[in-house]
Amino acid sequence: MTEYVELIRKEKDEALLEFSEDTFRQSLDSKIAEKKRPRRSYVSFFRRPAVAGTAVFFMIFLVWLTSRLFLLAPLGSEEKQIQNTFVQLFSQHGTILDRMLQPIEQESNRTAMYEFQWTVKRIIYAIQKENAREQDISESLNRVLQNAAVLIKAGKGKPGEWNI
Amino acid sequence: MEYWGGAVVFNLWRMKTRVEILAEVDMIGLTTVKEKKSRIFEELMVHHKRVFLICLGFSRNASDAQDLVQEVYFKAYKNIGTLTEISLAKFWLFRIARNTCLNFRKKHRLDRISAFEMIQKIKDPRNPEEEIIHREQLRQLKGAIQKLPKKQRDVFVMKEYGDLSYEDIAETLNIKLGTVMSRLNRARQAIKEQIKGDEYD
Repeated sequence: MTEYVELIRKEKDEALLEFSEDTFRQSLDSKIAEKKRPRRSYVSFFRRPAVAGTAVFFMIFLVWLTSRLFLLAPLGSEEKQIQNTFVQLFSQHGTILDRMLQPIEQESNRTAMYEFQWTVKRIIYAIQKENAREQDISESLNRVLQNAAVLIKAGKGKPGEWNI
Repeated sequence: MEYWGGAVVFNLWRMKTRVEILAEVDMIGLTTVKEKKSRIFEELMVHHKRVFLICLGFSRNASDAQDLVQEVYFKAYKNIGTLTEISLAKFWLFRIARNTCLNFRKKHRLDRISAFEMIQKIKDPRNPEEEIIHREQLRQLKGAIQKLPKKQRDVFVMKEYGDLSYEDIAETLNIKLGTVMSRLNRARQAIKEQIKGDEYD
């Protein structure tokens, strides 16, 4: 019985000689300090692939939505431009336009009306797609309408023949 | 409206209890809960050598015991908030040590490895022959401790390695004083017989 007690005593003594209090305390303190340090939540947030994926998807969706709402809005900024152009044209060329529209009303010709609609569409298309300036559109329409006035005077005027 | 009333009453009750808690803390001369925790922890640090020796009894060698004692104190630091009675802090710490060591044994499958692997080399031996004898004896002892039933081993290690009193062991393991004595007696007998048997072999 005494023998094993002696063995344990020896083992304990040797172990205590090996045991470094400073190392123990330092290591424990650093462990505790690490635990106390506040975690950066956003780092752990983006470490989770699923959450990060969702966040990226949501951001892409947001960009898409913004672009749809503000950047690619059909007839958003152009609407005013078109309106201004037409107001300007009617104020400058009201008489010519009256004369141009007269034959269509009188004849009630569907084809002529159809051609006229397409002409207006081409103007809108030019403004939208070619990003034409308001002044450029006005000038070109001026030219077209002046030509139209010449054609009407000569008795050849038909809306389908207007070259815009 | 009823919900609002309930919420107001609940919050008032919470405020009251918080005030009461703070008053209690002030009564024992501590200003904040944080200070209270750190003071308890410092009190627990007094027992670090004892904990180290308990860990030595359960583990393979001093190196393992050093790792274990750190883990024990780190666990204690993390869970210090769960400690209800300050007077029982010491036993709570020894319990953590025992459980940590048992988990370590399970994790490293110490019950399955040979006793020869469990002993450490004596550093700078003056007498090689003495070292061989000592290693052999230590191997026998470690093997005998390993073979003890779990309950007897707990008591034996706490008494022989940790130098805990019978009362402290009883409090730590939550058993009666008589049970501690009988388990220790049986453990000692088993160790003696085991070592004697090895010598005959």
